[in-house]
Amino acid sequence: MKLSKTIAAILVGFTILSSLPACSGHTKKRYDASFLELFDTVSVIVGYTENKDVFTRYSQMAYDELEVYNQLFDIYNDYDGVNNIKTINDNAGVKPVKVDQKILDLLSFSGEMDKKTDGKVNIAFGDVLSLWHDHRTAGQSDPESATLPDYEELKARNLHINIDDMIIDEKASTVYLKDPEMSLDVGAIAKGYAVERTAVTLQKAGFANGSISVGGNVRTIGNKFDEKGKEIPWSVGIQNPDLSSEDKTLYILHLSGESLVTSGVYERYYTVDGKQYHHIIDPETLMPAEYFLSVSIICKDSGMADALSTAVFNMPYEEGSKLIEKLDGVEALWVFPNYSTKYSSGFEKWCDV
Amino acid sequence: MKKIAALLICSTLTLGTLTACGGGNASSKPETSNAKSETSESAEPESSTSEPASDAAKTGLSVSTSISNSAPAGAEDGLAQIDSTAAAVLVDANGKILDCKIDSAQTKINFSAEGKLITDASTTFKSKQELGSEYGLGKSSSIGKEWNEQADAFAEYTIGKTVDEIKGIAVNDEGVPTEEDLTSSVTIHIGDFVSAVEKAVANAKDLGAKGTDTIGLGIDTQMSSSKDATAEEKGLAQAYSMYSVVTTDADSKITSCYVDASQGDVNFDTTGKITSDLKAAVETKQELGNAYGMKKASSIGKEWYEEADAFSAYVTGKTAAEVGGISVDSEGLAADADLISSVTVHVSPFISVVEKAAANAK
Repeated sequence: MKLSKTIAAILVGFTILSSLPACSGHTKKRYDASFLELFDTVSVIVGYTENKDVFTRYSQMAYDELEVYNQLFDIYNDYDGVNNIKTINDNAGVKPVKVDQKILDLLSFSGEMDKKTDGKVNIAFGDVLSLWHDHRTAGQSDPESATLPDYEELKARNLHINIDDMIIDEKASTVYLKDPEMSLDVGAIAKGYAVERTAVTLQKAGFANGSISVGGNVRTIGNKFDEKGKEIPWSVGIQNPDLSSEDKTLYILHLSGESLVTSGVYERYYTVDGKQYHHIIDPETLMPAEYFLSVSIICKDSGMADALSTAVFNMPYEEGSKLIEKLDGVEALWVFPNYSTKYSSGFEKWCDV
Repeated sequence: MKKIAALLICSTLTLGTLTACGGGNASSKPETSNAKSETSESAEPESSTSEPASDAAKTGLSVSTSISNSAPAGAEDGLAQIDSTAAAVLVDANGKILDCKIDSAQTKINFSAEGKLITDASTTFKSKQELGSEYGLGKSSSIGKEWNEQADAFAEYTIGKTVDEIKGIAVNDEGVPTEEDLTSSVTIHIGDFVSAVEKAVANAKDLGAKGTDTIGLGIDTQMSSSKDATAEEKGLAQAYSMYSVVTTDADSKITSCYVDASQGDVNFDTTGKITSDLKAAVETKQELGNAYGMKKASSIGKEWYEEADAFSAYVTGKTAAEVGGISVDSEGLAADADLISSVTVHVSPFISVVEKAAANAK
């Protein structure tokens, strides 16, 4: 456990922003909070509340909730007194591990997503992913001797990814991996899932106008307000994969309670013999998928958006397009390696295309 | 549990991306005298501050690494010794040093005559500034001063001077200074200090600092990539150090930040013999990353230093406490996107070293 930090408030003279008369007759002002220490990325919360103290309370609540998920879903670190996904992996083939209901809920949600995507979101893919992870981190730390995983070893590890070898005992709250070689990796789903649960918690606590981003997994809550105090949708941009471009965003979407998640090749990668290898591994080829530069998904549930963005990233366009059109309330944007884009049939209603 | 403190500043953060520019802070800064240190030895010429103190200043960091003190295993265990000297400077438009910090990471990793690591790979190392009196130079120094005290005295001495003036410091045959200002406080030879400061000034960039800001330097060192030698592969003793320089204003807010890293690699074989060239120069990741057109540029990729620079941009405008905690701002309406959906960026490796640097910006 990290020691608690108390931060001293610093008051600097500033011009009070013009108050925004909200529809409810309240005046709500806009605030934002950011923190760095969860999910190894930047989290940002924007919101409209009556005053700063109220907003600060909500951001603390979000932090605390995300911190719990961050520990439970971690596959690399142990935390005192916490049985997390790493604990389950460490006990593969050894014994069932008693876990928090939040982990059981995530596993059950992952199972649903696995079915929805014909096995393209398999959290039992950990043994293959960890080999890529080891080579990627070694290659980033020592680029001159960066290497690719041995294909035969990838294939051997791919024999230990059967989700049916994960035995869940709901009554006893335990998870047991029957195959000693298998391991869970919830990287494709955990952030979005945690953001969704956190958003629901904040809403229940009365946070009505906000948006949460954990490393670009964005979930909006209600609307924001314009200068006149009128409710309007949140503006959420889709990152341009061409990071050198003047245009930071490809499209700006107008969302009121929906989520937007992007999977892409451009932030986590390493270089071997001059070629870049990113972090999203295609379960068919066991290599980084090469269909797109990025895939963005819009839907209500941020966990579903996160899972789908990875799944669709790993499918040829036609297959992914079929899947998206089949799902209610889900839209997608594909960015191809030549920077051209395609989007699903209902995508335009979210933005000014 | 963390408590959040709210910070009431109009900020212009571009949300959700790591490209925040924290330059827009309230300019109603109280005039501070910005006392640099408690020592009374600094002989700052009165005439050196003819420019207004709020002028923009450049922030510079230099790292020089040597592995030449390493020794193969024989009757005694082998030693991989990686010495990295780091200097952080704040420089005005005329090349005059306004603030300076010096530190050094001396990493000693032992290996056996069979090419096995003796030092545990999970070891982390303190810098000489962090070691303070633990380093033990005080016992052998004729003036009874520790390495960190001597480095601080030298850093103090450079304030108000240009590089040319510093290079003009009179030293004896041993490289030990003979100028009166320094003889009472420095007995170690200063060649490394002079070249570190010179290189830091040459590297200095306009990153948003002001002349009245204070500079801080942090170093984190570990050796987790080190491994034993095998019949097929050389052993590796690697000191992986991360460095951060930050400048902070009177409100303890970070006004500029720069992060770099060095990997001092010493290879050895199964007989405990060292196979690395001990005279080879060790470049930092920023140096390698910027070396376009060189053979290494294609293999190093741009990813590391781009992430480091993005992280530095993110923390600029925040206090040290906010880097490790939650920062809350009240803000105007977003110009375009409230948030951006992007692919996640790693931040963990950078947090602790920047917090360290901000904590010692005094």
